[in-house]
Amino acid sequence: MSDKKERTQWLADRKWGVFAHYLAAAASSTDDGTMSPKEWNEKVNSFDVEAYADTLAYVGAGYMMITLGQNTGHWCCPNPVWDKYVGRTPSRCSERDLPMELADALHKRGIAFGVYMPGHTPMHDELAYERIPYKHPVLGGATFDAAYVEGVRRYCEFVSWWGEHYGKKVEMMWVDGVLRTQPSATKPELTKQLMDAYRAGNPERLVAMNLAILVQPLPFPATGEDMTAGETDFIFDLPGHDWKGDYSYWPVKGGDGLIGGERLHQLAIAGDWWGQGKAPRFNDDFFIGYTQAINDCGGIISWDIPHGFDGRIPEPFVRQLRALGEATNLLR
Amino acid sequence: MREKARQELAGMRFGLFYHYLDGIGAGETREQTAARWNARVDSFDVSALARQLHELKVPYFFLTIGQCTGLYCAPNETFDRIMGQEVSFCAKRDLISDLSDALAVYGIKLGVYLPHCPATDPTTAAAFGFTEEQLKNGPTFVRNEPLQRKWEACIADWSRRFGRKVFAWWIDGVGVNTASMFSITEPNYDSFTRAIRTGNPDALVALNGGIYRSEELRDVSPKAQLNADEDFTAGEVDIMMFADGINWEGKRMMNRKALNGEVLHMLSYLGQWWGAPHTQGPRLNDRLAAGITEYVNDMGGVVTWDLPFMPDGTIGEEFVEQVRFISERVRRNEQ
Repeated sequence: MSDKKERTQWLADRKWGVFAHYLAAAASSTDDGTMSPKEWNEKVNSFDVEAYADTLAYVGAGYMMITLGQNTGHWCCPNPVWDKYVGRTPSRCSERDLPMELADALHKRGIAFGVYMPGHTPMHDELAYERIPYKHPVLGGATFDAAYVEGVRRYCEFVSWWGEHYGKKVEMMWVDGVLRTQPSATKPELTKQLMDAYRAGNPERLVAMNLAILVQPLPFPATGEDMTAGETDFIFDLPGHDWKGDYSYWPVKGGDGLIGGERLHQLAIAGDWWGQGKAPRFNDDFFIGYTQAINDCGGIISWDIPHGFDGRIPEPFVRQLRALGEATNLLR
Repeated sequence: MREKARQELAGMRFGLFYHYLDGIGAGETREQTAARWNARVDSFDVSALARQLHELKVPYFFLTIGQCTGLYCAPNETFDRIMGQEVSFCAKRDLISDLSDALAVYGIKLGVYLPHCPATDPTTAAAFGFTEEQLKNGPTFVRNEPLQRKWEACIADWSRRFGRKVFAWWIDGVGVNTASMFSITEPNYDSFTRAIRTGNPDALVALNGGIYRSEELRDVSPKAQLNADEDFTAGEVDIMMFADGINWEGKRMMNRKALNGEVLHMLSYLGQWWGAPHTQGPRLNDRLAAGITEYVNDMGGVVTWDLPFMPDGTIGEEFVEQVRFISERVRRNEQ
């Protein structure tokens, strides 16, 4: 059994999970984060962790991932290293440690837990961008120089703090915006530094590095990631191959579940957009059939589900997830 | 009338499609190829297939007349005259008309598939006048009016023969034949679709612009061929399928304007590939195949599924239950 297959098998056995974009601005928007720290803290404090964990247990979810933050520098947890470098008062880090509470509540119910991180300094937080200059290669113009290297070091320092803080309670990390054009992607020493940060406190933590939305779950083996990021929005890969049989986006049915030496993982939107939508965009047959098709190839799918700040999932999604749990024999 | 036909197509929800094709065997003489092809076409049990489609409640069916090999499953005097060969590669049996008659007993409609140009084997290429540049760089990127006119004449011949027995035509490869199709002067889209409708002015037409697969071009939604008198989108889908949604700016991703008022139609395959052997089994699980169909139906569209078949022309035995599942699911949604 290959190293990646062995490392990821426990997750593959769980078949599918729920992903939450828990953000102070719409996902992937250019909003620069006008939500005040006070309002952000109120939102985070409103999350009913126990009720939420009950819901995920009810639908049969095998794991859950939540964004720690994205582009605005609002994080749903404390981080003294971040505060040290950014120096904003009051901090956009919430006072409440939501991931820690979620991990405890979910683990109590046998549900694994992971987090989402931007793969660079949040790009619409101008202050953070200045103080931790690990920039996005397109927005802000990352160039390989001493400041960039220091930016990577500071970024790794605050990411590592979380890693050590959560330890084995965070079992997966999905890292966004890791473009090939990012200077760190072409420097093995920086890549190692970053991967060590993502796995800080838990060497068994599974990592996925997102190359941005492509049309297929593309492996990025140079990083040493464990599974494909597999971001999927308006194009869905289907099983099969081209007319020459030359390529396929998925492993063969009944195969080892690996593509490019990594576990096939897909992250897809169940609503209208990341974290948004009042009702599922897919009928149950599509939703269930697609999940099962990926599972049949040994792959895993994370469904992004809209969440209220209080952690409530709209009823139509609960119903559909429950149907998925039933169809995949995961109801507890 | 065509508007009514369009609405009828949209209301049918799903149909089936065969890639009924053959080629010239290695070392075969022209006589041997023609004999083998004619024997195969003769063995197609149209009544058995019609009964099966009726039992599975499939409202329409598509069959290829031919594709890239120069073998066609219906006679065509114009084609034979252009070819000037003693032995024709057009079948003696008119399988299209026979099948249409058998399907008509149950009210099932028949559509046909053709490519945008004839085959490029040396004999056909010489007869139709492919230029050296066309043969070297592909048959389609150079404007060749005589060739286009000859092929339109062949299509018109088939259309006259079939008349109203064929309700729809799905034409492949026009997306790369821009030199001919996009011309202001004929031959172009206008003369091509006019040839198609020679025998049935109400025939529905789809012109395939190709599938889109690239990391940069992320929109694979079915599109209309905007300069053409087209009725339904070709909608070819292989291993990438479009999905709708609303992005953070509130922009809906399914581009309705790109449909230009045509019926949203998707063509994909249930087997491992277009016309793959039935023994290879389905590529999609039943729920996903049905779910995709329902998904397109919910957008007001229709899905045509290519699937493998048995030697006698009936549905591949590994696929019968999957078709039944799809059929039951989409009819459940009608209630």
